[in-house]
Amino acid sequence: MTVVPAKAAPLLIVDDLAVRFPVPRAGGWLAQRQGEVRAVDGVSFSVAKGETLGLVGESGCGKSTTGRAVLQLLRPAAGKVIFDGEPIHEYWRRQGGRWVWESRLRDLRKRLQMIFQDPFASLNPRMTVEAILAEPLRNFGIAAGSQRRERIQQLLQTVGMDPRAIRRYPHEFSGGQRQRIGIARALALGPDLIVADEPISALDVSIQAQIINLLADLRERLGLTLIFIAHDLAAVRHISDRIAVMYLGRIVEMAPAQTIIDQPRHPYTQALISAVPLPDPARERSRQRTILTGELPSPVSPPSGCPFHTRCPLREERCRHDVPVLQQITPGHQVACHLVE
Amino acid sequence: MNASQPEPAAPMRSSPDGLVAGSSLWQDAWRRLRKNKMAVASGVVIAVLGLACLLGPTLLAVAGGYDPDAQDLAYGPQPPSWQHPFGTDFYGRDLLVRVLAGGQVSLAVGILAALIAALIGTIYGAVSSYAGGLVDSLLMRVVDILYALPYMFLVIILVTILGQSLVLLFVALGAVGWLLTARVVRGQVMSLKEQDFVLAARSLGTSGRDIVFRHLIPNTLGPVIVTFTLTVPSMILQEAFLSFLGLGVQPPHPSLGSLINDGANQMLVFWWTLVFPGGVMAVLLFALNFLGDGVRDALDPRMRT
Repeated sequence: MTVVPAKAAPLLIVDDLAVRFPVPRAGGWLAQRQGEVRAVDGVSFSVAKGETLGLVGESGCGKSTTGRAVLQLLRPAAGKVIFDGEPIHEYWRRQGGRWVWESRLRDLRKRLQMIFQDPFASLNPRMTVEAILAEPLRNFGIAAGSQRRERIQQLLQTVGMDPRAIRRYPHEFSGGQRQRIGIARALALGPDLIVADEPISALDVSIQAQIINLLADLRERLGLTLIFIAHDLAAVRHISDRIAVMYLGRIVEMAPAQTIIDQPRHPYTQALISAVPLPDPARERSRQRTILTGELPSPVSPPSGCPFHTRCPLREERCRHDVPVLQQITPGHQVACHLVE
Repeated sequence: MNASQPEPAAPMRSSPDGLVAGSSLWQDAWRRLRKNKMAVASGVVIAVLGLACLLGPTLLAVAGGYDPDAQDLAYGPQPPSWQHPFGTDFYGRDLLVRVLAGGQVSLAVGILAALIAALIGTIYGAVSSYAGGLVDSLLMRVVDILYALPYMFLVIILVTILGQSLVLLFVALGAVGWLLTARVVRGQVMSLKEQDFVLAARSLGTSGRDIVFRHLIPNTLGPVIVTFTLTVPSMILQEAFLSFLGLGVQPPHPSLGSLINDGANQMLVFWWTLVFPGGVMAVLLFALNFLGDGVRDALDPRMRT
């Protein structure tokens, strides 16, 4: 695991990011927009060049939305996203009643890329591997004719696939191979930052390690900066330098990977850690588990005070009223909990 | 495990240039279609009928001097014979040639009108759905309004206003027939546009136009083809109906509809003038519908083996 020097300038700064989705009540095309989901609320973090940040949380906590908002695939409702010194959250303009990218944001696609969760849904079934990988190159007029094909075959080799497979269609590949094609597509434009949105959770366990290793390997070779999103800690702990734990649209704890695993401070993180099974049966039997009760509250009507108080085993009276802020308890370790001072 | 080691792939077929040949979803569908006996038989029937209609009138004119419009009043209506296998009509015209020439018109109208309908419907539906929001609402309300009007009534008005020519008949039928395709395509695109490959395309800097034409429309082609194959027989039926009403193809040129109309007027006396055009029409419609059903089954991903 690489230790990133603290003085390295961050490649990405996310400050107080918020994403909201309107929720139309009742049907009908004249229905008024009422209510909204606060999918992401007040999320701040930064990622240094070459660093890997793991983003962990259960389904619906807003981790994928955070990833998409960072890449400007969704327009943030509030907050800043500064990529390599550029305020990319401002690179939008209104056109015909909707928000569209300015051309400089489109140009930044070369540097900002994404790897998707579902390798079956993220590849167009009607396109050959060659057409899939040619798309980004064509969009930016990179290489043409035989040069383009060479480039595509190189990409396939980079992700460990047979470069002769360019005429084949996605349905002819296994899940792991498809995910490699998805990774090759994300690499086609030579990006600096890649958001990997649960890239392994749709794969067989035996394939997961291969894809994680491939990503780790590519990160070293190409100097990539990664935001690695996952719903379980076991998946991200080996690849991440730092881990941020999200709950209901907020970051509740963020620290270097080993610190999160060894000294989790937030009750939610502690519950997550205790849910990871141990490979040693003797230790597994004596494992202390914190079982969370209740359901994840609806982000349409989030609880008052600490968003976690409805399920927290340690809740106190003030947790109902006051929203805890993310504060530094030791250098590099931030927690949002009233009980941690 | 070494991450850069190639994963073993499924058995590969090599093509001459050393690349591995892929089998597209179309090839899979074709393979399934060939296994469907009804569909294959229907395809053969359509091919034979189509060829006969296309070449028959010319060949018969050259070989035996048969002219679909040449009258021989003295010859009158004759029952089927070796010289006139389908008999002759009231004016002494050979019915076989007339049926073939009429089939030519019917098939051309059916296929062209269905093509126009598919083209307009696909683009309209895909653009409407991808644009979404107010644009989508407005465009689809237009479809709803057209849908609510009596279909045949519209065609009759169009034909009356635009005048009676074959080309306008295609346009009138096609211009009213695209509504179903537009709805089918819109529904498809509604679900397709939420899929990750569309988001991936956006993330790669693909323009909206390329997303619609390269990603969305190719993925709706299955249902569009199915709608097309089932629109062709319905268009043929519409044309026959219009000709039956006297609004379609004008005499002396035959179409299956006008031949059936003539035959129906005298079916009690000269039965062959109704039975042969009607029989050919029925066989053609059956075959087209069976082929359409076969194509639908072949393109259904749940039928994949």
